Amino acid sequence: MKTNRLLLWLFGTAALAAACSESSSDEGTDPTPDETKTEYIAPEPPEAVNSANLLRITCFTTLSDQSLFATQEPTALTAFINNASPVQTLYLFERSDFHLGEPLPQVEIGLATRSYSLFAQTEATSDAVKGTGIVTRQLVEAFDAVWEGSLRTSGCTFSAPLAQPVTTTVYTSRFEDRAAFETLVARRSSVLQTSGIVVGSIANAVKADVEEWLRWNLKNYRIVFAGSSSTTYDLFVLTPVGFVCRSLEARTEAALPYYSLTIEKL
Amino acid sequence: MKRILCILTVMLLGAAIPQGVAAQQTLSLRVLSLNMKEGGSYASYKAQPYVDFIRQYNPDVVLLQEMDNFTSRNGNKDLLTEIAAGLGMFPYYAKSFTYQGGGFGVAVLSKYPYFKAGRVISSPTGANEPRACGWVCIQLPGGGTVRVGSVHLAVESEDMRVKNLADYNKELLADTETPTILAGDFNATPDSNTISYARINWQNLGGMTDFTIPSSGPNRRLDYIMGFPKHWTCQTFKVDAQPSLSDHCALIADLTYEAE
Repeated sequence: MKTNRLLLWLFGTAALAAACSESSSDEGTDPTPDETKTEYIAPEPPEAVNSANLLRITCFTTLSDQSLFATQEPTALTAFINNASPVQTLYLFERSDFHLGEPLPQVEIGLATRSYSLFAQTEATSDAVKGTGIVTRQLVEAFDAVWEGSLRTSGCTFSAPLAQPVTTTVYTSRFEDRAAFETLVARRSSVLQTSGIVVGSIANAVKADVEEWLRWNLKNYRIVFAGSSSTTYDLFVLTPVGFVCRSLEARTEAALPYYSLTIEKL
Repeated sequence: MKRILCILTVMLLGAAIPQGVAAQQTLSLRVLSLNMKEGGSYASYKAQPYVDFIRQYNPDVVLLQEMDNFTSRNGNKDLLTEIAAGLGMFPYYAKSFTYQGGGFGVAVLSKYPYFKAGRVISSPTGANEPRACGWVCIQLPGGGTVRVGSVHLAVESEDMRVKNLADYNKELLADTETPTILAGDFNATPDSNTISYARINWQNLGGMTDFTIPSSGPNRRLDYIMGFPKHWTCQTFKVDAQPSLSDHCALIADLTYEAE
């Protein structure tokens, strides 16, 4: 703790000194890409799809500032999940908000579908917590997280049931600003280029800026978006270049909107 | 403008980070630890008896050992999630090894969502079976962060148990910032080398005199709650014998943590 305070003091002093030594011109945030950086454009994936190498993820989301289960019982999805064919690797429920002590949507679903449940919280712990429920039949090896600045993301690491099992981490979060992406790339750059997949939602207002920023600040990745002008947020799927999102279809079940994703390990 | 923004940033950081540290300085936590005995065999692998028992203490976290997961003897079910659903708690299961078509290991239940979790597997040369430590990181409502881990050390020998602990220490103690609780069945009495070794880094919470096994008439101690770093205070400590639930007694403790 003392080290933190010392670092804070040093950082503060350095920042103040930098602020005072600079010219008074207000340049704002420079949108021009750093000339030392190079733009990254992912190569086209092969046309043929290897169906034995598909991760299937179902993401329930309204792409708005609403909890999914405000008007619908979580167990309304039990039959849908139990009868899913082919079997889905992972389900996301954005958002599965809850009040402490009350039934937890993803735990109820996990119990009814013989699956493990996790929760990626996106706000500080209090009587009411916002976040995304995660349900999977894969045994989760670890639950990673980055909590820093405006970023709060968690992701489960498991052995993906592919033709050749691959250990992968699927992160989820709601991104309100570019700074959250900057933090994610700063902290998990290596994972994002090799085995980390992010399925989350992003505020429409920052989507274009983030897409442009990623092009100059991350390598070996692919990103796709889904949504419409009527939604506050867009869904996005960020994968390493060794994966590709093959399909992203909007559907509805039990009056709850969801996206059906297939992600191929190339 | 840029200068003002910089100064504002420094002021905000100066305001925000010390608050986070301050929030971390005092933590309060009620912990319950229980060895389930063969995955819950004493309660016929039913969730409700455990739900009723745990609920009366209203713990923040529950550390469970000998937890079956989809084994043939427990009826091929996820008893942990059943208990979690009954309590409205977040479950995390850490498998030690494959057993009866499913898993045998340790588990954590938390009243608050955990944002990070993992397991450390210890499998020293000569061990009969691997031993997992399952841990989760939780942000408490006050803003502080705590890590809690469930352990069940080897039954074979002192040497094996010390190696288990050394393996767990290597991962858990790499993070010196997060206050941590490690609780469970250490398979070692207070005067053992295992406990002496544990106490080098960990603070024993709840004394050494209460016996924890067998639940029908406790005559020795094998279960402990330990804290790291050594800034914890045990406000209350109770050993509750429930012969209908397990051969081990449950440990229940109210703990507080204050940083230096």
